[in-house]
This record gives sequence, C-alpha cells and structure tokens, in this order.
Amino acid sequence: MKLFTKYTRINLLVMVIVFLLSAESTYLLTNYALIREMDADLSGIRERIKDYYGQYHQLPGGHVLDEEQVTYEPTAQEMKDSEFKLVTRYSQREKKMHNFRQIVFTLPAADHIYKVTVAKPLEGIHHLFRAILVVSLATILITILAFLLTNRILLRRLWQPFYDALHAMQHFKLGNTRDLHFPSTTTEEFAFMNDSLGMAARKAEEDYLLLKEFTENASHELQTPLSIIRSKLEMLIQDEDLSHRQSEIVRSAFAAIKKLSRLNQSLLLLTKIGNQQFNDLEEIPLDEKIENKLGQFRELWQTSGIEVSSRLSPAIIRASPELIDILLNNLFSNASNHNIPHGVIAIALEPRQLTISNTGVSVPLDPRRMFTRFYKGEQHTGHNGLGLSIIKQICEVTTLRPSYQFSGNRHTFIFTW
Amino acid sequence: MKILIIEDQQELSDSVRDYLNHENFTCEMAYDYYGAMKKVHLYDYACIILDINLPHGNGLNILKELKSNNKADGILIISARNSLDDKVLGLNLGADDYLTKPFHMPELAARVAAIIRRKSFEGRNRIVLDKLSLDLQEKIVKGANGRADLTKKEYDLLVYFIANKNKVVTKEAIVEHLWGDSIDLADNYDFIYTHIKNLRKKLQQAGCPDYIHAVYGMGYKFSPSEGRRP
Repeated sequence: MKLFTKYTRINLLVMVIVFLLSAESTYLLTNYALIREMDADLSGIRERIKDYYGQYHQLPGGHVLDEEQVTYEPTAQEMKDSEFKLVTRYSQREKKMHNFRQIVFTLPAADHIYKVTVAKPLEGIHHLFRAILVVSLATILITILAFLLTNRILLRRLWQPFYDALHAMQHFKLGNTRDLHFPSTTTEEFAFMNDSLGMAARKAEEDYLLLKEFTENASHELQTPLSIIRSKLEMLIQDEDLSHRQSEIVRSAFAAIKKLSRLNQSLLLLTKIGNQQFNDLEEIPLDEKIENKLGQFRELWQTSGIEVSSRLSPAIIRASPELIDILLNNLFSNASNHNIPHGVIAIALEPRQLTISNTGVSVPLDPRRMFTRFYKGEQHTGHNGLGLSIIKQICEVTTLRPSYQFSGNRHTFIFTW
Repeated sequence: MKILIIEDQQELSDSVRDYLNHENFTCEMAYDYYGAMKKVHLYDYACIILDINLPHGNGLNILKELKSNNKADGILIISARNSLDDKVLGLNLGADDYLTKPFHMPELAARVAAIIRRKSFEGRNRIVLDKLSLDLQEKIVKGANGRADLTKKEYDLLVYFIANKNKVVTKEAIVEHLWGDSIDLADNYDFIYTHIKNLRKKLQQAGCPDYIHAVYGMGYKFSPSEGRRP
C-alpha cells in the first residue's frame, strides 16, 4: 500500500469518528439547553396560571392561538413539586401524534385540588436535530474533499525529493557512482537521507572497486607462475633423452597447466562480465557471426565425425561483439565436447531465437543447477564446469533468455531475445 | 640479431632466452624499468619482448619512449592482462604484437620471428632451409621438385615450424596457434594429425626430405638439417 493511501485511510477514519462524535455532542447539548429553556417557559406558564387563579378564582381558558395544550382535572392528592416529562400525544393543530414536553402540577382551589397539565410541542427540537445532521454531514464531506485535495497536491510536492532519490537509487549501477545525483532539497530529513544514501553508494563503490581489483590482481598474479611452469616444461621437452615414462609425466603436467590457466581465464571472464566491463553494444548480424564460427569449427567436427546441420535466417542482436563471440565459442565447444562419436549438432537461427541441440549422454542436465559455477553433468570430464555459467552471465547482460530441453539423447539450448 | 627481454620474473626470462638463443639470436635481459630504459637508449634491437608490469615503472612508458625517439625496434608485448582494451592500447601505442600470459614458447618464437621478418627483410621475404624455400610475400613454398600447393592452415603450420626449427612443439601449442585459444576443446588433438600428414606428404612430393618428426607423447619437431630421404 502506498504511503499516501495508508496515511489518508487512517486520517479519514479518525476524521469521520471525530465528526460523528462532535455532531452527537452538539445535538445532546443543544437538546439539553432547549429542554431547559422549554421547562423554564412551562414553569412561567405555571406561575401565570397560579397568579390568574389567585386573582380571579377561576381557571384560565386555553387560548386558541397558543400552541400549549392545557387540561385541568380534579385530583385527590396534592403534588409537592411539579413534574416535567416527555410524552407523545395527539396534536390538535397537526392532527397527528407528536412529541411534547409537559408539566404537571397541582393547584389547590377552595374546595378541591386541580391537577393541571400543560404540554408544549417539541417541533423545534426535531427540526434542530435535522439541521445539525445535515450540517455535520456536509462539513464531513467538504472537509474530507478538501483534505484529500490538499494532501494530493501538498504531499506529492513535499515528497517529491524522496521519489527523486528513489528514482536515482533505482538507476544506480555499481561502477558508475558518478551518475548518481540526488536533487537538492530544503527538507532536512530528505537532505539527510540523500547524504546517507550517497555515502552508502560511495562506500559500496569503493568496496566493489577493491573486490574487482583483488579478483583481477589475483588472476593476473596467477598468470606469471603459470607462464614460468609452462616455459620450464617446454624447455624440458627439448631434452633429447626423455624416456617414455618421463614424457608421459610431462604430458600430464602440460594438461594440468592448461586446465589451470583456462580455469583462471574463465573466472576472470566471469568477473569481468559481472562487472559489466563489456558495454560496447553494437547491432550484430548473428547469422554472419554464426556462419564464420561454423567455418572455424567445421574441421574439428569433421575429424570427430560429428554431423552438423544449420538453418540460419537473418537475425540481428544488440550486444557486445566480444561477448557474442565468447558465447558462440562456448556453445559450439560444449556441443562438440559433450557429444557422442558420430553424433549430431543442429543449429537453427530465427529472427529472435537461436536453437542449438546436440546428441549426448542420455541423462538430462539438472535444470536447477546447470548454470551454477562448477556444475558438471559428468564428473569425470576434464572440463571446469564454468562454460554454462559464462553462457548464463552473458545472457544476463545481453538480455537473452536461455532455456534447456532434453528428449531422447538430445540436449537443446534455446535462446530468445 | 639482438633481442631484448624486458621481464621482471627472472625464471621466465631465462626460459625465453634459452628457447630463443640459437644461431641467429643473442638475447639480452632487463629486469626492471630503469635497466630496460638504459638498454633501449644505448642499443638497437631487432625485437624487444616487453612485459607491461615492471618494478619501478610501466612498460608502456618504455614503448612510448621508443616511439618518440623513432626507434625502429620491433616490439612484442607480453602481459598478464587479457582484455581487448589493453591489447588495443598497446597496439595503438605502436607495439607490433601482443601476447597474453601464460603463452607457449613456440608461439612466442613464431611471433618474434614474424616481427623480425617484417622489420628487417623489407621485400626480400624469402626463407631458404636445406631444400625448402618460402616466399613470404607471395606465400609460395618450393622444394627441389617445384612448388608445393599448401592450404592456408598447412602454410601457417610450416611457417610456425620454421620459427621453431629443431624444437619440440606440443600439439597443444600447434592447436592454439592455428585455431586460437578461444576454442575450448577436450584434450583430444587428433584433428591436427590430418594437417601434419598432408603437409608432410606435400613437402615430400615437392622434393623435400621428411623434416617433420613425431616426438613420442609430445608433439612434433621440425629439423631441416636432419631430414630423412623419403
């Protein structure tokens, strides 16, 4: 949920409750005041009736113009105090039942006691209640509307630096901290946030550079001893007197050096791709690239009796040419290295899809682990298990989507973009 | 012909010297930036093998110094850095070639030979070895009986062998030379056998003795002086 929505929701709820409570209390207080007022009126009438009786010794008649309804009836007992209460009774004027406030008191006459009831209609209060309801509802609605409108405009403007900073962080890429700019703001909190974000980003950048440098340096430092070992072995085999057994030993050493140097190169390459050091994007005619690559591999395939078929339609991809070259090398090398004698490789290129399938062992690769580093389908092979992770890394930076299928003994890799 | 090896790892430069030291070449060594600067100012070399990471300085500055003094020495950079940018930078500064560590000695020898040929033959691009003669300009190979018609790979292989004559060259190094190191192959180099066989056959048909000898378990040796009659 958006901050706006959350904030507005809580605020609205509180506002509605407060308004309803205030409407209720306004009603109660006004009601109370009006009843008090009416009771005072009724007491006045009582006094006037008593005075009238005291003066003329007869009861005053109900006046036609008055809204009060007065009744007299004889009673046996005298009441100490007057009694006020709310009643519903028939209204002569409106010809229907109505709410009245009435006062009941006794009037001691010469021979007997009169019980006098004076009732006054409560019509005023009824209207008042309605008016209060309408006014409260209108106030609630208008306030809510005004609140929403101001919030929309004001909050959006107030929070703009926050969204700008968020936007800047979203487009932040390690390796280009220089492109990270936060718009200046006068809001203290946002200025503080921007400072903190900037500092975190710079720290991340520093760490990243250190790590990158370390990986590169480690790989480069390994190259020199590898060169020395290889050069010494190459000097050693110049010796005429090497026995067969010694030759075998040197040959294994050569193979191990080759594996080690390839492993080192692959790790360095993975780091470089991960560091996005290949961002020289070009529109590459993939069909031509593949055609060239097929030329390089054809001879190797002929020797190992692998039959290759290709169906290439023109296709363009926007990517780093160096990475595409590495990708094709890896794909074709994999398809030949993991093939069976006299196997098959099929390559199909469509405008937005490259499919490469080869015969191989009749066990599918583990789709969850196949792209992880050092994954090997078959443990005994001499490969370092980095080929597929390199392919995956290249796919990630080139926005290629790789997928893998297996049927019979055919392993198929499909790349779409 | 003199070659200067500028490389701070003495074990490596010793190997390079031992490998390249034969009748035509004399190798001199420099192990750091100042030693190298002194040598390149004092003498002219047919080829300088230059490592970029040196104690006390960057090898690229030596390259710049040579170029600003209009020295004609051929320069081969050997570097542990394998990125295209580094290569382009080195070549743009005027280096003749760029080789990434760890390299094969025969590859280094072939590159050095190519640089020296380019620098010093100037039109007289002919190599004569025993009965074999090569015109490097026209890429024509002749034996005692006339021309040998070689494919591009066979020709490259022959030039590579000549640069490494009388040396044992591993199959691995040959594969890397002919196909580059980008192709990751299983440890099966059978496919170069066809090329070797054809080259042998064609040279013999052109009237050369069999110069190419298989060395057990290792690779091949090209020895024009001790060729056997067919």
